[in-house]
Amino acid sequence: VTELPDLTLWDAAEAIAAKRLSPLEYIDGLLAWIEAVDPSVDAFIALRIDEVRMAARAAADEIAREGVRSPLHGIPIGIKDIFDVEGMATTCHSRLRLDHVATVDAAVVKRLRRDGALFPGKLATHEFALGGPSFDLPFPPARNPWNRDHHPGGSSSGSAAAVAARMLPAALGSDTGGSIRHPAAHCGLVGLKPTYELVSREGVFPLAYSLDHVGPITRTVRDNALVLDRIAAHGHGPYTSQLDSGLKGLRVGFVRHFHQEDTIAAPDVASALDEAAAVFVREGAAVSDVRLPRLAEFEEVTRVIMISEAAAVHEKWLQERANEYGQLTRRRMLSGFFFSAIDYVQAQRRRTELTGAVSEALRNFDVLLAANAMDAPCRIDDEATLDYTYVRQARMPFNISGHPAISLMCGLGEECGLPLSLQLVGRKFGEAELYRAAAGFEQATPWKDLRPDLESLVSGSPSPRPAR
Amino acid sequence: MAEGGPEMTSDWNAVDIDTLVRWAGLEQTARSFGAEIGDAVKNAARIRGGFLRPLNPAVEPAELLSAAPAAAAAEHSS
Repeated sequence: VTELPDLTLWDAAEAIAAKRLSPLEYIDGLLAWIEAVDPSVDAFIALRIDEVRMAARAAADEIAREGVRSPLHGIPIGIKDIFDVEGMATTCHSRLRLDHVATVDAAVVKRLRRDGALFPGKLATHEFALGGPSFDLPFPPARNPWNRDHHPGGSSSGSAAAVAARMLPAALGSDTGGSIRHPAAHCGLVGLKPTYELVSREGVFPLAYSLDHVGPITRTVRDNALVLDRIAAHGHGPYTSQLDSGLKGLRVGFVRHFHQEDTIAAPDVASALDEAAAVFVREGAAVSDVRLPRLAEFEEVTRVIMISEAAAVHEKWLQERANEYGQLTRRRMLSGFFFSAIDYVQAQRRRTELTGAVSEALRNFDVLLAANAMDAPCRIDDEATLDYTYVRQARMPFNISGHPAISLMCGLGEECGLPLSLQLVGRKFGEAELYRAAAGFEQATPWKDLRPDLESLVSGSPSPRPAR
Repeated sequence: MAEGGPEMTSDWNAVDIDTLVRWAGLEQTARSFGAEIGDAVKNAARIRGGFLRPLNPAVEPAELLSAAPAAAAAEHSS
């Protein structure tokens, strides 16, 4: 691995601002690395080499003359392929959208472009951010850089795989039922689902309007806060202000029943969560158990709302072009035709109560600590285990409630040696305090210094496909 | 509204699948994916059965957008 791909976003930004690193030199280093490792990872579904080099050259000239516009000037950011980027196809990883070329940037891309960020290409996703990992789509699914035979999580799978494999310092994802936090968890990264509507969804292909969130995936908490600073609605940052405040005095509510009673986590995941709670105590936080409604209640309400809203988006295509979907997407969405209007309204009413319960818990605690995935990442071709683990998670409660939630690495799976993860949950628009807790945990643990065996990815051989 | 009123829940389990398919406009889809539609009907019934329970009539549907910052809403229209 060359030095440049290994730079954190923060370090690259500092080097560019100090004119020690040119954006052109940086992107060339990353492009060479992408060329070497992406055939093994399949994170990118489209690369714009000439265009991004041209933009990097322009950024270099501007910085030489006038200095940086923002901390992201000259920094390449990965974009999940459900976000519109002007002049590029937004395929949503689907046959149905292969010819759709965006004429304007999504609002969040526009913000980043104004800041001088670069967009090297579009990243793999589950089809329409729902159906995956699948091998019956026009592009292969992204692989987990920690072990490319394993699932990287989804649906923002390419975003996490690209960042974990050091192809990019940061990427954007979307999270409707956990699609930022799941791949961040499986790839050992930091993934934030912000407060609902803190980051604009305009120009992002919807999965479920009232559950969709846009957020960053990075290798460190500091990098994550830096990206949120640039894409969040004005007036709520800065998010980097409390990163060095430590954990002393923090009140942490441990939602232990999620993984000990509601869905029994794998033993290595449960141990990692206990050890994480002990880290908070050791660093001076006060940790006590807190109860929320059962995980199953959150999940069932989420599913009614998510699938109903998704079916509303896809109604016409599912009626007329169903054969063009991957099987997994089609199967998941068709259920949405068979919920009634009453079901949907009742789910939204129950959502009011569930959201209130989360807010109430956060009256007594600064952050909540909860499980993320209940299992380590499984093999990407093991359909039975993928089905089994798909619902074994504790991410949906915070899509339902709209509270910000961040995924952090907290261990390694006992058998597979792949990342395990936890979630921290904050008050609405309390991202600065949430980042404080996340940074304190990150600094007190060794996990951010671990990384995949990147040299093993430079094989030149394409990703293996399961026999079907 | 007063508390303790009756709750309506929907139960489509008794409706035959051909009627459901027509109602949903999925006749064309059913020609190739009839089994998947059958699974979808069962899946919806299973999920619905899991969460429906009496709710206090005073509980209104969630309105997340009302909690969104004005700046974010403004960005949507810009």
